[in-house]
Amino acid sequence: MNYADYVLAHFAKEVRLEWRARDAINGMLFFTLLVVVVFAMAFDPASYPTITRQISGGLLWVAVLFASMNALNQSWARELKNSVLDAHRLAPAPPSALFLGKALANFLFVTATEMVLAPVFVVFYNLHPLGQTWLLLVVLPLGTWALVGNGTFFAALSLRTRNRELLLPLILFPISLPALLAMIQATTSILTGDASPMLWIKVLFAYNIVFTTACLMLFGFVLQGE
Amino acid sequence: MRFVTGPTPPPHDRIKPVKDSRKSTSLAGIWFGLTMLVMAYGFYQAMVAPKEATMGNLYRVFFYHFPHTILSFIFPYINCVASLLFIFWRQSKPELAAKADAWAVASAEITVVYSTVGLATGMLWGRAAWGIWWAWDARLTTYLLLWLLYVSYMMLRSFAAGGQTAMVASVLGVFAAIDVPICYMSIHWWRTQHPAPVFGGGDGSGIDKSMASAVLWNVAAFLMWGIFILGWRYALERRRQHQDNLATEAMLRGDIGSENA
Amino acid sequence: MIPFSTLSERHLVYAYLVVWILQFGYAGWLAVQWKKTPRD
Repeated sequence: MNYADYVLAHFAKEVRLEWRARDAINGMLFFTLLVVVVFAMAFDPASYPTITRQISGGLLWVAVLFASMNALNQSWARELKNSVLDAHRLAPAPPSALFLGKALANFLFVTATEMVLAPVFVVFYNLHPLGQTWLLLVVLPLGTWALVGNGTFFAALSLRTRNRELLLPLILFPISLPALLAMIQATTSILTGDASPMLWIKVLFAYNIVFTTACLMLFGFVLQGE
Repeated sequence: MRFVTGPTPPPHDRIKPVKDSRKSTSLAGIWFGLTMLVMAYGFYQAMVAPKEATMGNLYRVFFYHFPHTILSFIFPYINCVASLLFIFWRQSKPELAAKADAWAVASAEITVVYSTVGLATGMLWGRAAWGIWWAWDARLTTYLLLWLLYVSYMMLRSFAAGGQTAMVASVLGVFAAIDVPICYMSIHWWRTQHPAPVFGGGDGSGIDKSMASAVLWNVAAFLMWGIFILGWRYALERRRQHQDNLATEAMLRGDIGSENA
Repeated sequence: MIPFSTLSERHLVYAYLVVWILQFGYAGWLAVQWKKTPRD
């Protein structure tokens, strides 16, 4: 087996487990719907289209961020049952393949949620993007990977702590802040059409490269370190 | 097979006691004395520096605000290097790795102290001088980020389970160090793309010659103070590690040699 | 003796107090922990 086969095997396992239980996706979908409704109480989308466009980018990513916490916390929890994590440690497969497989699976789940969330946003907030809308198809995956990649890594890190559900957002948010800034700025500039999102897309891309490399390099240490 | 009878033989890797020689304690004492002198002189300089044109006496906050903000960028580097050394040495040189981890936690804690002071003095100054407690300009946002990063580091350390602490913290330390320059650049771009009012025309841009000496003395004072508390925190951490080692050894020995105890 | 009447003057005093309280307070905490942790 080569590296890609290992990654695929882990990915397929995650998707299969999630498909059987569907708890992460259902939890995320419901949560994002709630967030959309609650935010709509904070301002009046129909009467203030300009303000709506200016803040919707931020609202969308806040919703995705909190929803993905759900999925991330659960994704490692299932490895703790039946000493599965020890089995991973003993297996000859490269540990970073485990990380990559899991991160890709989480990426898939969060993207699936976004595919539902984005139209819901457009409908409930009467969003009419003034910029190049197709660029959103670039920004959404890049932003999601930034959150999910680091999130999967830190979720594995917080396995070794007590109170891990509390700790994951605490350590993830400060690290993700530049990426969050970039994805919110990119989305807002596409929605308002004010400025070019290219700078922010480049920032997101660079962030993803740097941090994914760091995660892949350090994951073996995190998994084995005892 | 040889059966050992009689008292348990001593373990060959006996845990060495912490080297806390008289020399280092008296050196620390001398350094503390010098630091206090420099700090007192710095305070005196801060008080007698000429009044500023627009702000009157309020600007004197700068003499304490500036050293803290500048120095709070040095300690994170120490944390980064220490975290990396821990990761490299963990398996091969465990004793050195333990020292690296002690430096890591000490420098992170001092970073939090200095950046908290920087934030607090900045906000007090800002409120009095410009009427606002906070602004989301590039410098302040990056600084808040620095504070958040190292507070989260300290929280991770306190939440980690027992022997895992050093390991998980070193990883977060490396990530935080990678994050700081990225934060700085992206926030800078954010604020130059949509310029927002910058606080105070840039600290340090308009330092009059007459005030430069006060600034330098206070920077020196808080640098010396930072070195002092960093060293002390390191020594405290080494003592704690030693106590943990003793406790582990006692527990192991209690289990194995109970018939000889 | 110490000027305290205007907002500016008060904030100047607070700022210096905050610095001393935080720094010397931290050192004090270190001292307490140092006493509590035995040498060997």
